[in-house]
Amino acid sequence: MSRINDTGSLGGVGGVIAFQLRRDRWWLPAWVLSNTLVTFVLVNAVKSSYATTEAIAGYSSAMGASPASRMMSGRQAALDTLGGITVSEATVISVIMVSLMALFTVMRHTRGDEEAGRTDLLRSTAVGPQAIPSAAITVSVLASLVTGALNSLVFVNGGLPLAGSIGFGAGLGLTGVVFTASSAVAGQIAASARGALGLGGSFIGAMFIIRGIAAVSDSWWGWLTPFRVAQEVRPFGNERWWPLGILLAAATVGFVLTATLSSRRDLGAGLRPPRPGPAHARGALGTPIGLAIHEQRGLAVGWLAGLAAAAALFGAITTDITASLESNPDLAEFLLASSGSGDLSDGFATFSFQILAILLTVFATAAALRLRSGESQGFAEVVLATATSRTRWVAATLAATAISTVLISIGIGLSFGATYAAVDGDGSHVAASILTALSQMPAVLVMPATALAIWAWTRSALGWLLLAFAIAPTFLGEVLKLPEWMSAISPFWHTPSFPATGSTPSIAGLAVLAGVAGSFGIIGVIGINRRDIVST
Amino acid sequence: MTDHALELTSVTKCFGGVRALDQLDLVVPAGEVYGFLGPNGAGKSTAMRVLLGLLRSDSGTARLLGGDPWADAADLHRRIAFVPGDVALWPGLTGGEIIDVIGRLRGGHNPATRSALIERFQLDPTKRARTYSKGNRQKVALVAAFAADADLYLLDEPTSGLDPLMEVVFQECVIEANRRGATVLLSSHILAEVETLCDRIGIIRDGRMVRTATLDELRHMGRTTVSATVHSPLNLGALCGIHTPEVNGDRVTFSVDSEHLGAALAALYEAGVSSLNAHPPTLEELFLAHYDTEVVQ
Repeated sequence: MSRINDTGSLGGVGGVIAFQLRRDRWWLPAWVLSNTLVTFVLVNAVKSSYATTEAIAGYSSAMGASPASRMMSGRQAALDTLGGITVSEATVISVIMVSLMALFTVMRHTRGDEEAGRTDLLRSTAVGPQAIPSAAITVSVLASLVTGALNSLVFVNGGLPLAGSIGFGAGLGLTGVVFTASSAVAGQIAASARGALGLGGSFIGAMFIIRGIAAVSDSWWGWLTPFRVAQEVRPFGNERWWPLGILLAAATVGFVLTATLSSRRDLGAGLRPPRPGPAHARGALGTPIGLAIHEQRGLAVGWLAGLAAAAALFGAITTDITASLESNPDLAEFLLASSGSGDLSDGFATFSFQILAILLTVFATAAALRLRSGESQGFAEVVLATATSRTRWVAATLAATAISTVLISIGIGLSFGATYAAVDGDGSHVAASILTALSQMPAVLVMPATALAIWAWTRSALGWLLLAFAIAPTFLGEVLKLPEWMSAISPFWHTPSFPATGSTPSIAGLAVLAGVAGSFGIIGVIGINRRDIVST
Repeated sequence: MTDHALELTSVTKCFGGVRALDQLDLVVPAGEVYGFLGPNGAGKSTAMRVLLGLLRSDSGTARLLGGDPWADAADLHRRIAFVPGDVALWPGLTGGEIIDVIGRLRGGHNPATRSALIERFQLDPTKRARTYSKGNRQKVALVAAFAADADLYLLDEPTSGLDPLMEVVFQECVIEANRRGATVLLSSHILAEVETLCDRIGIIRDGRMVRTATLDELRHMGRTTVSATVHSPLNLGALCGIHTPEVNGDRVTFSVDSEHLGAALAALYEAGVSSLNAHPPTLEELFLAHYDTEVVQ
């Protein structure tokens, strides 16, 4: 077994780092600078919006009352200072961006290159086996730390105190370093590049959701996530520095694990060697729908596991949420208003299902857009050269997406209901949860159908951007004081509350949403029949 | 149905500002094996994709097995087998699964033919596509194509990455399919393969057909290369249709247009020839002549 400080196995690492930086010369600056730019805009926006003590006091009570904000930003220290408010506003986007940057940077230089056959070329030169993963880690760590430093600079430039600015930037940079380590480990475990990306991405998503749920319910579990640990530096409120040590220690464990694992696996393979598979296809696989299900099965199973786990967490704390919120009457009042029955727990359940519906929509959009990656990778060409029409090809993916989304939704309802019922002792929660989850289906399917239609006409992935706009009102609607009609454009505004029976979701409303989703599906089918199929 | 298996008439296709096909004419009579030659980027794959209905031509008409390749794509494809040059395979499926998937999506294939082909191509159908080499990926596509009892085979550089043994198997498959009455459009850079298989060839350059002919016709139009040892000096300058003459002591080498070959041989006879080597133009020579310059002659 080679060690990470073994020069033989690390041979050529300097050259590989230079080469990777050269390949990333546009890509990494784009990540780092756009992150910095967003922070710059937010620092200045906060400075002008919260110029008075009244405004600052208003922010902390509004933040305290919004579970969605807590879900996204966690529990931020020093919300009664301008610095604290700035961190609270800036942290969501910058922390997500730095995590994704680490994930994509590590993956593209390790498993991505391996699967494309580019690593073979590099490894055939005087480059040791550990040099490539080590170089990818170095590049990602550098980019994360530079991102953190630039964020600190932007804070200082905005006139905020130095210690808090450094505290925020350091926490941000080290969050990127921790996810560099977790992504590197994921890259060693998974059997394929896509699997590795899924695993690394799920880990980040799980950390984010756990931090969010813990923040809403005032629980200690948040400490298990780098997001919370970085916040515990408490920038702008009596900073303390030891949580940064926890982040460093966690990253180090990940790096050592990566080195150990990478010496045990073959290039291009996961930890387990590939096993032979069936010599004949099962009957269902030879149909467009069977093939579409195959193409999104891995994705669906991963999301089912993740969302069912999140739902179980939400369900488990629903009963006791009343006690947790005694100290926070504003939040309690907000949840009560969105309850289907006038009960605080039901209000929290409504909120939970909203979050889960949004996450499920992200899955459904990814599943629908498998068509897009299928087109650019050349699978579409293979399928369409057979007696499969374009209409059947697209309709099959739409149907597969709807089926997997409904199944995951049932999984969410079942697992939320089960833990809710287990704690509460009321078995009726199971049926109510499943019904609530299913009644969200029309709203959930609007965005994937839209994204599919956009791809079908333009070949682009702009549907993702539209999804971001659709999600925004749920989290920012109250903070931005959006007019109701603007929030109502988003399909998520129309999701029913819990229990769905108590609030009588308007059947007409659900039918309209289903109609919108269906129409976009049809528009997509029309579009795909009119344009060229191009693989790249 | 017309007697042409496929017919492109004055087909133009642009991508952005680039003219991939420029008034391309291509006619393949039913039952022929047609060699489709041209340098990289000449438009061969684009033409194949227009024929498959994946791309819609900007102008001109395309007919395929008596139908419209764009409008009737799915129906026509029951009678067509396609092998792309760069085979995209679902990484998580095995080769055997992919062969079945393609076969069923086309409307079914014969299991006996399938297993015979897997045997002949020495393909391991239980390996995941992710782990196949380039040649093995190509074999998966070839088995899937020849397992279909198709009327028309569209083969876009189908043998890239195959070893010479498999190349022979491939040629047998084409000959068998052709004997059954199937038409084959074969784009290729392997000239020996084209020479063995094709009745007729078309050379495409910059999206235009620059020459179509049978192999015999093309040979006739080219020059024969002659090298000989003669007893007395030979005045090559007095002869017509002689190119690149070279005299080295008693050895002469030259190439000669086919219509002047007789006169050249007579002159050699006069000079007292003690050894003679003459060969007709190889496809490679014909090919290079068309690739290098716009049009010879």
